[in-house]
Amino acid sequence: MSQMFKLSLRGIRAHLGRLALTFVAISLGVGFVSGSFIIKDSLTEVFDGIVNASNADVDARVQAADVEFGEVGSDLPESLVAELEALPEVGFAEGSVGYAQVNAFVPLDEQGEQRIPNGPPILSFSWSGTRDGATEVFTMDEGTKPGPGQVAIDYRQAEVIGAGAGDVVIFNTPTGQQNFEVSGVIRFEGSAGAWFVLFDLPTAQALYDKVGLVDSISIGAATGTTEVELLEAIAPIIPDGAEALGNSAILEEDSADFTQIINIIGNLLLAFALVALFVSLFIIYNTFAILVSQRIQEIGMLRAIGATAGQVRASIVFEALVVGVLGSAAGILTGVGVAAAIKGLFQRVGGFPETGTVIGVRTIAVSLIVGIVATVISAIGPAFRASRISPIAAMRNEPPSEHSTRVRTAIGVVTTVLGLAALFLGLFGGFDTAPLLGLLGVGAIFTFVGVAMLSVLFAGPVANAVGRGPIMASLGLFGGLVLAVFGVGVTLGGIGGPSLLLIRDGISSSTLGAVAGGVALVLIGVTMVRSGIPAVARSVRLIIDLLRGGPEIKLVRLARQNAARSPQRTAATATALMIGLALVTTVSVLGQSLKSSFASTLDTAITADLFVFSSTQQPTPVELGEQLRDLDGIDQIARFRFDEIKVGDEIVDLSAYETATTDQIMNIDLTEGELRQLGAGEVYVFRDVAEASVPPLALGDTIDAQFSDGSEATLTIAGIYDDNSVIDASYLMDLDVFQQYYPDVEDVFVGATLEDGANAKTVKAEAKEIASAYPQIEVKDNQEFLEQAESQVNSMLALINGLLGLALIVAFFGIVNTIVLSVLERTREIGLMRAIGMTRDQLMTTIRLEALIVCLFGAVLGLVLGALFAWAAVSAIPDEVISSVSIPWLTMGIILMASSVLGVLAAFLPARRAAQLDVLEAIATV
Amino acid sequence: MAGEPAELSVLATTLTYRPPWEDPVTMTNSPSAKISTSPIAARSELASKVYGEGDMAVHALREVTVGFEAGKFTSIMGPSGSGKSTLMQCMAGLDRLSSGETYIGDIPISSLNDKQLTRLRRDKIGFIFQAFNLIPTLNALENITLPLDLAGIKGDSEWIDSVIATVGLADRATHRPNELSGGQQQRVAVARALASQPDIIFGDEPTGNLDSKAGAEILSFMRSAVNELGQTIVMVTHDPVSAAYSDRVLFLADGAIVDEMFNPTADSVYDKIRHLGD
Repeated sequence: MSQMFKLSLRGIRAHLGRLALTFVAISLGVGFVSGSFIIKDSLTEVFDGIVNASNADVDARVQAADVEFGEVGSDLPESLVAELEALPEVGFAEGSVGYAQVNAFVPLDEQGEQRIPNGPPILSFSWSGTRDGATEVFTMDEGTKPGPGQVAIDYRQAEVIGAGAGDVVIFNTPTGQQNFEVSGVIRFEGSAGAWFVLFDLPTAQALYDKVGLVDSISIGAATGTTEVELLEAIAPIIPDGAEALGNSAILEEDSADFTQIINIIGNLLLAFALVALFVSLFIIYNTFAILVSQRIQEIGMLRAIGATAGQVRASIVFEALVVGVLGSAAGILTGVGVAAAIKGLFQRVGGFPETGTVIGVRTIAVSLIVGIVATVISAIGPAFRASRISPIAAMRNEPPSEHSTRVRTAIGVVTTVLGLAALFLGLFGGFDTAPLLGLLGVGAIFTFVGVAMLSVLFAGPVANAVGRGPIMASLGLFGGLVLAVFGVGVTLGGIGGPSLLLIRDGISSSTLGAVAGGVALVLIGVTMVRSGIPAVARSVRLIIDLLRGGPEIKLVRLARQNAARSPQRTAATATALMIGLALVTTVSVLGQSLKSSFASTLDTAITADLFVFSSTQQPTPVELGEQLRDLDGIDQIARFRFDEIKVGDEIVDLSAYETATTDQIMNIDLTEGELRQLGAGEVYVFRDVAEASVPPLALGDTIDAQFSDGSEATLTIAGIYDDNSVIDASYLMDLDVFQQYYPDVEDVFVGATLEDGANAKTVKAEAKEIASAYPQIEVKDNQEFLEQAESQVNSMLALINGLLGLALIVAFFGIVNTIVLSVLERTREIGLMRAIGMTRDQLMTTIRLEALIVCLFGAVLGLVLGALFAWAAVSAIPDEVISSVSIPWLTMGIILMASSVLGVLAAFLPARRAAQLDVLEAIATV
Repeated sequence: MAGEPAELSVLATTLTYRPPWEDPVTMTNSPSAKISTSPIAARSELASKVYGEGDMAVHALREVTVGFEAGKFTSIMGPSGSGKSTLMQCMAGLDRLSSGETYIGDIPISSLNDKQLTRLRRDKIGFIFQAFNLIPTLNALENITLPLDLAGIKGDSEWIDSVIATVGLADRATHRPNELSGGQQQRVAVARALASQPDIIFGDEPTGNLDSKAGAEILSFMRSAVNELGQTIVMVTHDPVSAAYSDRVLFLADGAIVDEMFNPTADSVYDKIRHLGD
């Protein structure tokens, strides 16, 4: 057996070049996984550090207990602080307040305009830790802690608005505009991008409307008092509705929020990493399948001289194991780079703390296990196939027996059907998030694998269909042009960027890093140009030959037949690309559908001319709506408010607006009842809710409801509405009635229609003027509102597609890999072609065209499958969010064209290798 | 080396060089008018090929000067390592000499770049290799016309039809190589070499992989291509029976031409080989 392992190692050494790209694929796939863990662990370290530091001397904390539905939460009286401090077991007690709404404190200019609209979230609270000896979480860049009428601001905020200690800044506060003197500039590395505005306790209490109240009280035990003794001592004076936590509970609670966010970020990254890893599985499988078929004679000879099938199998699996171990180890290092890249990206787009690089034992273990298992699993299929090679067949250099087409097709169909079944079950089964995601994941994997198996059937026909002169010429021309142009840009950027930095900052570690990055960019850029320019030249030549009938036409045919010759290989390569592109397509189609659904909602469901809402998800002040109503030129307004209501045992959403006056603004599509002003005790119910109730709710039925203040009422169904796209709630009542139960709830948004003949521009300008008192409030007309929503969807699409780019990078290496291996396999044939008169250019063109065909095949598969996924998802998503499938033709076109860029670039290395082959040696190759 | 006077003088003499075998008798055996324009299809002058350097240097060819007459079938024989394949490869522009020069017609090829060499091979030279001569994805006809297709030349379809008919492939033209027997595959290779009417065809053991019957068939085709079409063929072989199909046999040993024979028979070649080592 050891002899076989020696053979494996020799095999690896002999085929080092052939395994190199597999190694790259594994280390990229594993790198993204370990990068996700590194980011997660690094963030956790920072936040745990902060939580620990800020609570280092805190042994107990008193705070309002969690409020259940129907209960009223209460703030703690400030007097409690003194009472606590008076206890002998208490060393210190310190109250603090915070403001729950994000972005309450936005810096304003002289005119009262926001100085940083759409900036990072701004958090405000009283500066805790004023006690002696407390560990400071905040460090002071300059100045002192805030006193009365003073504020300490975040260093980034200070930078942006150009303010420092002693300057006066204007803030928008819950109680209006107010001037503050900057006492100091603070720095907090765990801010996760948020900015802080800190006041002393009395100032904060006044600003937050909490005079005489505190949110929580931090308590340190007196010397010699244990935490248990302290908690026992303070228990009697804790008021109802409040609770006291010990140190460990504090840490747990404080880190819970961070942990949740970190987990969301980490899991999101991990999900995309797993997609990339899944893609690399295909590539590893493909590589080993090719390597086995290239070594048939060697394996047959081994079998002939007495190696057992098991030994052959073991030697190939062992080979995979070695590559897996090395690739995974390199993957952990890649992960450090990936983590740094993601961190840099997030820091640029706003909000990511400075972190160390934490490579946990778990990261290493998971990366190794994932990488090794993935590699070995991928190699098992080819290993079994190799072990079935008969000695004689091998010596005749026959390809290893494949499963018959029928068997393969049957397995492929079953796998695809299972996958789609899991997907649909997940989408329509009404599961919770975890099983839902599990089903979707398993479904997608099965579908991808099934389609990959079935795609073998299409590889030949599709290659023949797309491998046409005009298609190849135009794609080659396009891909080449894009690469040439962008390549020049990337090269110049790689030279210019670091040069400027060097001139500006001189030599330092960061400029040296930039220079290294620049060198990499120049290499990439030059490669792009070098692959792009010949592609353009040869595609032009192909176009000319197509017109006048020249030799290049023949090359298209050769390329097409090369792609079709080994359908398994072409299919496996194309499906690696398909996975990434299918997901990009799914996301893009969903995004487009979301946008067009939103547009149609604006078109039919809500026909207001002006929309007034907060840019920061804060409520819109009630007064604003009232002022708008009185504005000249405004016909009607509808103010929308939301809260919860308990019907039976279920807590559901309740919405309200002016039902009497808004028939021109809203179209809720009543299927029963009539649109009129609803009186007290009357509600409209959403059709789905009415139908789902037992027994189904009908016009005139009554329900028993409880409101969140604890009061109860019997409500009569006055109508059933069908269009829930704006309301997005189970029940709808009139605003006046709603106000009685929820007097403090403010507007979510206000819609207004204009009087006939009113000048839209003037009215909008006046409305904006009124709203300017509230810097976070935006006034938009129909078109602007639509554009804003679309731009939000677009940035989300950009983020998701950017992360899916990881999978595309892996797939790209897979394409390069397959074509390099195919070129090596065809060495003799290439030598022959060169001998009988094929020029280097013609040879490179043939290989480029083959890569184009493979990429195009992958793109077509991806687009079709992605559209199918999106269609299923749209069917499952409630109509009020996405009503119908809308295909982003432009994006689809871009994906198709982008595949041509990938193809041209992927062909660069293999084409060069082929062109550099020595004709004689190539012919002598067996 | 190029600038040395000794070599210059050799170059001067080669301009008027007439090889000894170019006697009137063999000339009259050439039936085609095609060759009369250029009696020498390819030649080498002081062709040397050295692998490695210093003590490790292996001299594959030592200043070989030879000419291949147009319209003749020449065999190159010699033991393994004698340089016969190297000579052919250098003549055919597949490999480069260390020193000296080879000509296809009047074209010196050592100064040609890769592109020019490729064109030369495509337009003026035909090849028949020992095995794996064909592109598996192309059918027989496509393989035959491939050099023409690569050159973007339509080709003389009558000529191609007659070539296909001559090698007996008319009913196999649309078959892929894997659907053809080894003999049939080599016939396709011969047809491909003939299709573009090259100035010279080089064969590297073209029958080495075939049984004797199929091999005899191929050699007959090659012979008749010379006799009836006036084609020039140079073939490397180690088989005296194959060599007997040719007009002339060159014997190589240690990188140099040590002997030659005209109108060989299998027996006379056997005899010669047996005494070569003496």
